[in-house]
Amino acid sequence: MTAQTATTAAKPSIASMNGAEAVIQALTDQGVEYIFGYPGGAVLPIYDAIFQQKKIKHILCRHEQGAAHAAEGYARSTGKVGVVLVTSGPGATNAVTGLTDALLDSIPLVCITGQVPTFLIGTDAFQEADTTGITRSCTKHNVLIKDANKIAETIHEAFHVARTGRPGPVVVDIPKDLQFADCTYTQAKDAPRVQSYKPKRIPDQSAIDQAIDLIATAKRPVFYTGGGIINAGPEASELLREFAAMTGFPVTSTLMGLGAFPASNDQWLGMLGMHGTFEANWAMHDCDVMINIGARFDDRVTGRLEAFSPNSKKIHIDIDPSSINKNVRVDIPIIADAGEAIKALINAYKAKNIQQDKAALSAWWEQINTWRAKNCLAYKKHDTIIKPQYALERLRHYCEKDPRETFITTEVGQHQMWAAQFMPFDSPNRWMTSGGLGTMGYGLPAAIGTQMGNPKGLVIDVAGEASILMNIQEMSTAIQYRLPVKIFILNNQWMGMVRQWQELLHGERYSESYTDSLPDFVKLAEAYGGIGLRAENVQQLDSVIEEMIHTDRVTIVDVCVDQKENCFPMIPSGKAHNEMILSPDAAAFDKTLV
Amino acid sequence: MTPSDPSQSVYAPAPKESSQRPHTLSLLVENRPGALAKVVGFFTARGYNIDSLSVAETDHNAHLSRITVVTQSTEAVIELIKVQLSTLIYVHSIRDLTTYGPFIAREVGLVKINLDTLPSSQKDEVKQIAVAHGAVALVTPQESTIYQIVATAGEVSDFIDAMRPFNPIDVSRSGIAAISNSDKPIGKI
Repeated sequence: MTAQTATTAAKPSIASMNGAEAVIQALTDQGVEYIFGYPGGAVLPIYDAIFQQKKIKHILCRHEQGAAHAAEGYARSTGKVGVVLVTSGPGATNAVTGLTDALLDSIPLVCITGQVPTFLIGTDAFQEADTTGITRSCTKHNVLIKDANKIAETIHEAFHVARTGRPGPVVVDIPKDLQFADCTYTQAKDAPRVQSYKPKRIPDQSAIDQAIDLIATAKRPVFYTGGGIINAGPEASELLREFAAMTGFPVTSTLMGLGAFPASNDQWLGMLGMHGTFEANWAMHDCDVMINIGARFDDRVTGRLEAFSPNSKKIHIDIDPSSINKNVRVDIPIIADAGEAIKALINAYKAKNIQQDKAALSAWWEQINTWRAKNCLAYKKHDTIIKPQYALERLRHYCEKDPRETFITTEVGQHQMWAAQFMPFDSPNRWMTSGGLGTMGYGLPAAIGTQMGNPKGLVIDVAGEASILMNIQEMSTAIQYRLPVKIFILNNQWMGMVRQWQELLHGERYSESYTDSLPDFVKLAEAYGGIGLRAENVQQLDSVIEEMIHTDRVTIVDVCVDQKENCFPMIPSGKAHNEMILSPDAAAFDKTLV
Repeated sequence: MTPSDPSQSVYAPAPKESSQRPHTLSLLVENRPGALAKVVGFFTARGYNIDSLSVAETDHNAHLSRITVVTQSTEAVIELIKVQLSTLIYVHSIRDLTTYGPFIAREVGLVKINLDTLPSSQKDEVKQIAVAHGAVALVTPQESTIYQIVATAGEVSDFIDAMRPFNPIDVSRSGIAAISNSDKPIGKI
């Protein structure tokens, strides 16, 4: 293939490559390091082009869903766009869960799908699916290319759309005949932009001034932060820390925003929401000024809407105008990039030389400390049986001792909530979890993508035994690329969160939530060529974790935990933040209602 | 406790119903493959109904099409629809004509009738109804007659209802096209 560099940009109209080569050239020009994919008939020319170059490395996943989640893990841990390459038909449909996951969690992906040749589209050809139709509602944008000359510019546009504004997945569907066709290559800088797409990054100064005036009067303020800060880049997290230090306000975060503010900071309240901390949720309920930065008032966070933070004035900073007033009416909307908005707030705060009401703030902190004293994450320890919370506390201990940067991914369920509660994050991009879609099977492929992007990091997938089986085939990928990913299974033999809801809300009728015939995870790890370890009691736990931390290959740790443990605190649905229940309340929870 | 009791669900209870009214939305979109599908797909994906839809290119050089949609929902949902539609990549601008101010909305209705099959008294009646509704008879080489009406959607419906007793062969309507009375254009690139 012709190596077209920036120096030859002056003559973009020379037909010098075929469509497949244009795809790889465009990806190279976009700075892509890795493609996560799976070959098939309709993308063979692109795989041929991959074979003949060295700049981009292809990571062969074992299922297209795994490829999409791996690209998500890569994107979330590096801040770059994740790239997926799959074939037509089943390749594309298998990727749909990963695309939807990326849409709900605002993760930038570009997914290139092969399509049957142009002249066969609509004939129910072999491995044909209406990919743009199927993915219309699970992508930020999608395009079926009909002219080989548009391949390069469409891919450049796809990267632009994926990474700007509220990030998200973009599908580019390329029929096989266009991959073979000669075409002209368009440089990224020459690619026409869609005129109708102009996301707003810089906030209106008048809204910033109003927000500062409101912040100046606050007596019981709280920062409610979210994934928007992570997406705005590491500088945005730095700015949040600066602004929080200037104001002295407490900070809570959504599941998606963990790490933007350091968990080790005194102003940190912990995560909020359904399984958030007592102090975070009560602070949200009782505050008088709420400063939402990059969060979207999700239903897992707000609880019952009519009772959500009833006496507060609300500032909402979001880059997506459609998130404003979607669930909760706010007083001061600011449409902007989170980092730009915080920067503007800091400047206005300094310029106006704001002095907070110190007495009110200290009374507020006093109140918060009484909530903290509830010690809402407390659980009953046991001498021999491993409590899942205890397992994570020990994991935390060994991660803190390790000099490497720790990256945690999760599957979905109780273990995910416990990981959010018990693993502290002091930096952004260290926490990869499926928040919006709640995709079981996310954690292992996401850990693979994370390890690819951070080869020196300590990458751990905190998993449940049910979730891990949903993408267990990716063990094979981890072996092939020598990725020392750790899979820390909190094995209680139940779909724990399903079981918890059945216990509390469905009359203890445990319909299909017990997994019979689980595999032997130690032998399973060994069968793939990895390492398998097991801890059956408290006495074995530490040595097993210590061994896991130092393995050089993918490792499954089967931690046999208490089967009956439930995840608390908890806001039962339809309840408000101030109606959350703690672990000791659970016994008193009125199950006779159901 | 009934199964629909909200405390048994993983979701909060449904909001209470509030009043709905139709809104006429006018959109300027890039005339690209898939643009209409994205707009229409947005309505179906989120469970919103489309009462009327019309679309055609209005500016060939700028590749712009005008889509006119009539949808009915609560004010809060209409607000959501508008702001969410505006985030679609190919949508340039959107105006809610219903809340923006006075506007003109017109629809074309076509009704095909074979007058030869009717008794002569009814033939005259059909012609009188057409005149009364301001419809014109289009000349066709076939035996049947096509009546064309350009009017508000309600007037088109009235005309079609009036013609119904005479067994029309076919009825077709364009969906409404609408434009604001305001001097300001809907939006510029």
